[in-house]
Amino acid sequence: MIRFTHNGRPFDASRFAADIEAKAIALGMQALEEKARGAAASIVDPETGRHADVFVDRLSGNRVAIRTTGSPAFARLLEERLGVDPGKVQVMNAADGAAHPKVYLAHASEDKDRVRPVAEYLMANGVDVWFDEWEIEPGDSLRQKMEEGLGSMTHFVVVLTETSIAKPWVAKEIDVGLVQQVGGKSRFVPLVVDLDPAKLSPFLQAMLFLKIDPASQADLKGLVDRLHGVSRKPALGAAPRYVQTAPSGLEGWSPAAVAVGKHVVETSAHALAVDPLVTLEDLTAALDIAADDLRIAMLDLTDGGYLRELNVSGHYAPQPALFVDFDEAFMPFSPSEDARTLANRMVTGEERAADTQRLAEVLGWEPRRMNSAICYLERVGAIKSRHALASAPWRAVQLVRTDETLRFARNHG
Amino acid sequence: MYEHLSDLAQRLGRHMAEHSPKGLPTHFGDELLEAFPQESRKTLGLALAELEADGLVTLSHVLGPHLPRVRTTVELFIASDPAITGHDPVEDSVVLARLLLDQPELGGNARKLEEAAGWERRRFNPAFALLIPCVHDGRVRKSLQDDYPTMGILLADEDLVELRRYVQRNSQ
Repeated sequence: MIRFTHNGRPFDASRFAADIEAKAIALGMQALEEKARGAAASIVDPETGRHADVFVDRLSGNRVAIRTTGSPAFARLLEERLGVDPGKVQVMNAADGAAHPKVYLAHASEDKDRVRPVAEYLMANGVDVWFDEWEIEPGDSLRQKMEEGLGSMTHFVVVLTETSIAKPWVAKEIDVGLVQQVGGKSRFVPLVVDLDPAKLSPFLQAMLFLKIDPASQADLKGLVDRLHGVSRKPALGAAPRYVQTAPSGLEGWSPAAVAVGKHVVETSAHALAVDPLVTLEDLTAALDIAADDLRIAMLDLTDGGYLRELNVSGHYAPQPALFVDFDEAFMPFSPSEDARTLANRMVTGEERAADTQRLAEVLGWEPRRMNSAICYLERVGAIKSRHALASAPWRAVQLVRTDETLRFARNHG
Repeated sequence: MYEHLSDLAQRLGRHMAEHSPKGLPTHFGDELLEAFPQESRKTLGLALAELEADGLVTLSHVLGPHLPRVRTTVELFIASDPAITGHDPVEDSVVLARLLLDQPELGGNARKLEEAAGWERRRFNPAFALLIPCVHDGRVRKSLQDDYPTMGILLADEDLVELRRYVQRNSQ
């Protein structure tokens, strides 16, 4: 008699089908992750000229979230490459992707040799300059091109010299710049170059102008800072912890979700897969949160791919994303910085597969810290991990470097 | 990755893989009670059932107050060896498959393949065992011995195609 078995047990068609389905879903999710990371790998962030980190997190219900540290422009490119709807790729720190200032540079044509280095310096420092000799081709309509330049600018910069203040055309441009300023469409920035301010019209004298030497790096840097809106005020520090509602990097989470995340990372011994296992009862006892707020917080964190509900209802375990983001805010180490250190260590080491424990010893890190850095590198797809039975307290027994590790190390070197 | 297994099941699996000196399927029984003296027969039986459900062991139940007879599978080595030998059997099997694709005649003699790989037997056997399903059963040597998963495999064209696909599936 022939006896069919499956995983050591008599063959059961429904169980076999369930196993196949689970395996197929896992493979599909893995393929999606690889596709997202592969697409991201081939795109350079147009804002920075560098590769951006892309996190692919598994969510409940066989869904994934794709998040990036890149700019919104990078996110849109990635969406196009993946063929998903706009907005599907989430930008983790939207402030980093602020638009470049666009400058219309008015000047006299006789001053072109003095103005060109200013335009080049601005371009090299993230200021998009409308400079006539770069924009206007033979045969173009001068008026139409200049109107296009004036229409899209965020700043109107006029270079005031002995020559330009006598030019009727420059005076007309100044009129347009002032109208735009009054209409709130752009800011008017007069630059005084080799000119006694007393020679300016009374109207321009009354304005705050910048006196610059086009050959001075310090003057040009001051101009760039002003155009980028860099304040001369000292940097604003973080508010004291006791008045903070959401730490930096965790904006968007409810206070209850932040409290749960903080509790989980602070009570995790080693940042392992079921470490800690928390229940709603535990959290109610440990945190002073209303029951409904807690349930919504758990739902938010689960939907976001930061917690997962175990087979027993009401029992939750942390996902790698939780350690990556919440450790950054609440632990005395930084997973993102540690990930860079670890990746650099791996690419400079001799072995392709490095023993996790040995690496941690070399770096002087406890398992809790090492595992958090591993979470970061796994989340961005920068390493392959080898797992084994009974390998606690390590998330992986070996870390395998790949070309992605090299690229990550180089991008963050 | 193995977090769904209890701590005891993981330690038990690791123990059996560590006590398989040749990396071949090995039998265990009541000696596991001595290796885990703090555990009861009941808890060990449950842990073994967990391992069986994941295909890491097969169990044969016996009459009387005994643990079932346990036979380890190659899956157990996949799950344990990165921590024991420091090598991944799947990755190693790809290396062996490439060797066989280059020199199919090596397959006929496991010892020669082992020498060509230059690995310890504990590392070689799980990797070699993973390739056997790529070969038609009629071309797998079946002599009684306990040194290798098989003394050799004779590779026909269709086996080479299977090996090539195996490499494609498992290459990183």
